[in-house]
Amino acid sequence: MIPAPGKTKRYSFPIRIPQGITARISGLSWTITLSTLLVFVAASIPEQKRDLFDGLQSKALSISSSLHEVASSSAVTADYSSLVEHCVQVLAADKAIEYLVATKADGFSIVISRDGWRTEQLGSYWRPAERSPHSAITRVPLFNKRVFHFAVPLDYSSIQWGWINVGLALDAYDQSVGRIYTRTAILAILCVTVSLIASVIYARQLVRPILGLQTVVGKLAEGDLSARASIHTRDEIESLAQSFNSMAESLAQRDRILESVRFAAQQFLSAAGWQTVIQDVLAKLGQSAQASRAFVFENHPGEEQGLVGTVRYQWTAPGLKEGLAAYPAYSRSSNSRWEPAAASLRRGEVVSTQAPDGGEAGPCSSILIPLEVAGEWFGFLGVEDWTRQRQWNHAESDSFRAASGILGASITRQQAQEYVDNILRSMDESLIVTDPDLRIRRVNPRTLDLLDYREEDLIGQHAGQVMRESEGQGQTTGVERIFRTRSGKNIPVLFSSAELRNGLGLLEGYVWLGQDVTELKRAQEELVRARDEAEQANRSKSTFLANMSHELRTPLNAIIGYSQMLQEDCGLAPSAQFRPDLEKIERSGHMLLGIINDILDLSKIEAGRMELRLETFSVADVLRDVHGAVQPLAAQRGNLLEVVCPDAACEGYGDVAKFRQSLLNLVNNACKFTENGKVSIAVRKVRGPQRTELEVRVSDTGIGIDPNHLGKLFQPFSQVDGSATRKYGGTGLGLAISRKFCQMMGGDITVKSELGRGSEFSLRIPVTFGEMNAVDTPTTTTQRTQIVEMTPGEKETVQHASDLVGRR
Amino acid sequence: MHRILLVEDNELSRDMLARRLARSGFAILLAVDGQQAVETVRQQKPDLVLMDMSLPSLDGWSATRLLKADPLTANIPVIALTAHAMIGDREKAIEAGCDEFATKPVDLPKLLEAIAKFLPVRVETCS
Repeated sequence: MIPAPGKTKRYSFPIRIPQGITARISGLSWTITLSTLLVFVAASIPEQKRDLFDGLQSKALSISSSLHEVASSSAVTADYSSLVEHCVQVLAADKAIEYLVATKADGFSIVISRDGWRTEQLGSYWRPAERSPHSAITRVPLFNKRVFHFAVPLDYSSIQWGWINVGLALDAYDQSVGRIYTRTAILAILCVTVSLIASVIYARQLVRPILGLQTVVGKLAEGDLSARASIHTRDEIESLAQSFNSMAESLAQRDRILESVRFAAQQFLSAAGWQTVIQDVLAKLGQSAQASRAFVFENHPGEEQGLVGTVRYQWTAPGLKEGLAAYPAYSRSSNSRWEPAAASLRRGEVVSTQAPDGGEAGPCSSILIPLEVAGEWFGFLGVEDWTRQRQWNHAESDSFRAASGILGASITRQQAQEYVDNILRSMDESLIVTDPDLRIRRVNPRTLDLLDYREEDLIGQHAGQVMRESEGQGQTTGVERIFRTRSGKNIPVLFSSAELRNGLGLLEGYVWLGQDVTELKRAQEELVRARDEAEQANRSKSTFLANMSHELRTPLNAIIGYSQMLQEDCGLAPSAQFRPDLEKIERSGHMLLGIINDILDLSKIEAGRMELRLETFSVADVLRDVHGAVQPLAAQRGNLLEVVCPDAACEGYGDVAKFRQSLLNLVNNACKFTENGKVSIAVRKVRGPQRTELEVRVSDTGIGIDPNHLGKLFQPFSQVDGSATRKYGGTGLGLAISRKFCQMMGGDITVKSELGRGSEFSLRIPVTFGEMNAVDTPTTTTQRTQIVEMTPGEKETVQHASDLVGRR
Repeated sequence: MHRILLVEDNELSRDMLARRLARSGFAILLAVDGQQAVETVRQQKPDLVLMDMSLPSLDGWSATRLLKADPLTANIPVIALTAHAMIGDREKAIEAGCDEFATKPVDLPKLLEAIAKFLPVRVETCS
């Protein structure tokens, strides 16, 4: 039966009394039988009755004919006795005759019946006006009896004498008629019964395969995909059943493939790694598709067309191994047809191929489904059939696509997972993820190393187990906390905590990040200790220097004082010949004092306690001083001392005493290392990219400096050549101190030199206030500062700085 | 003739400076430590004190403080005389109450200049 839409529930009773088609078919055939029977009966019963009637009629006719002679002669003769006698005989001879009545036209009648004979005057019933024989089964008035009444006119010699009426008994007739009816009825009942049974049987037979089909459909609908219709009726129903079976077959196959897809999804979702289950999945997929081979092909990255790759995993049907060995890989080099196929795959299209020459050498049919991982073309899922050519139907294609999608998603998920794992693994910090109740959910390997736990021992534990202070909630960043190892050891960590919120903003837990700072702390402590020691040492050095200074100055005080006194005495006394020696003593004393002062300066610089008195000063004045101071030495060495200062009003900004000391040092050196040459002091202003500087160049034509020694020229205690000290004197501190002074003032000293040709030292300082290099001057300015053309902001800064250092 | 008290523990320095100052026309009183210096100032009331700072028993700073705390001696100028040329020495001396500061080795002309600031030059000179 064809189910009406929305009435599929009727299939819940697969076996039921057939009402529809069976009833209709049997009803129809039965009706036809019945009506045929009716027609037959309606036609045959009157016929038979007529036959009986005709029999009666012919009998009556023969009786009347036999009477006709007698009656005619009786009529002629008017002697009716012969007639009566004849009639009595006739009557006696035939029991079936009920009566014989001869009626004269005037009504006179001779009536012969079973009761005897009599004459009677009879009415018109017996002598009708129309003179023609007639017969009927009727109830006659005279006898009041139902008989076959036959009347025939009696004429002789054209004289209408009267009528002869014959009455025949109806017993036999009625009997016959009854028999006819009985027989017909029996026959009809028989017919009806037989036809009913036959039609029902036939209809059933006709409907049975349909019912069988219906049962199978019901089973299929209930999910039993193995149900098949076995119908061999050699008609349309059989072909219907065959179509149905093939439909069920493809449904079953689709179901198998879907089942394998479901299996794949389940496996991929539950397994730790897709690699562990891919073999099972491929086997299931291949078997369900009744294929020869199912495989995963992975592209080799970096290939332009991505065609060169490898079959990473495969399942093969039994018996395929041998053929597969000789089968070329999917590669550009081995098969030119793969170029367009690869292009399609790259676009995400399914590629299906047919090879008529397949079989031993390769697949007859294959279908390749692109595999996408993280939005990139990763490779493809391939299914091949080596045994037959087949069209991959939509169900198969879709299912494979679904499987490929699941596989791709699984690989993507795993790669993302691995990516996160790698990040966690490569972290040097300890990472702990907790739930909102501070139960540990996840930790990275570093945490396990650091705290000496196994992962399973930590997961699910309260985080308080590993952290001494459990106020780790909330947004805490960069604080120090203590992690506790399994053995109870405390580990100081630089700790940060962040709330872990999901996409909806709900709190999922906390992320703790702890960096082991044990080493750092140790290093820090060592650093502090080292610093303390260094500071102590520095203090000791400063104290030592102060003491040394004091202790050295005290005898010097006496030496210089007495020698000066004696010189004064020499002016008065006659012992003037001692004066030059006394001068030497005094000079040596001053030289020693100079050295002591240098050492003091250096120690002050190094201790950051050198004071600068910054001011704007006249460069010309300084040059004059320096020239005057050095001129004697220059003359003594036979040098020409030249000063070039084009701008007499030239000004510099800095500590004039330190500037003078630096310049004096440079010029003094130049004179010292030059003999019979020229020492030149040239002043100019240099406009640099950021500021204008005062540059004083001190050049000489002296011995020059070895390039190898230039690097440590400004290092303290490093007169370039040990012998120089002996030859030229000096401590080797002068340059170091001079340069430091200049740097403190925001300038510098640089040097160019050529061995044997001379040297040129350039001293640079700013020309205006505010251009000092603040970073390089760890110093306090105690002198009044000349504030020239500064912005209000600068003035405020200077004022503030001055207040801070104790302005004087 | 102005009287100057020279407080100096080092014998050579004391002798040398005393003689040079004497030549410059000052009457010189001597003290070898702070205690003696304070006593001498109280007794002799010199016109000026040249005070070495590093002294045995009572140091120069303490002695200066004592002198400046006593109204009788507070107005006598004190010139600190020290071989401590390190940073802060000057401040330290001024803080203790010294009126001027000179470093050793002594530069006699400068010292005389400083003395002259406190003691008006007299007509009488050393003969």
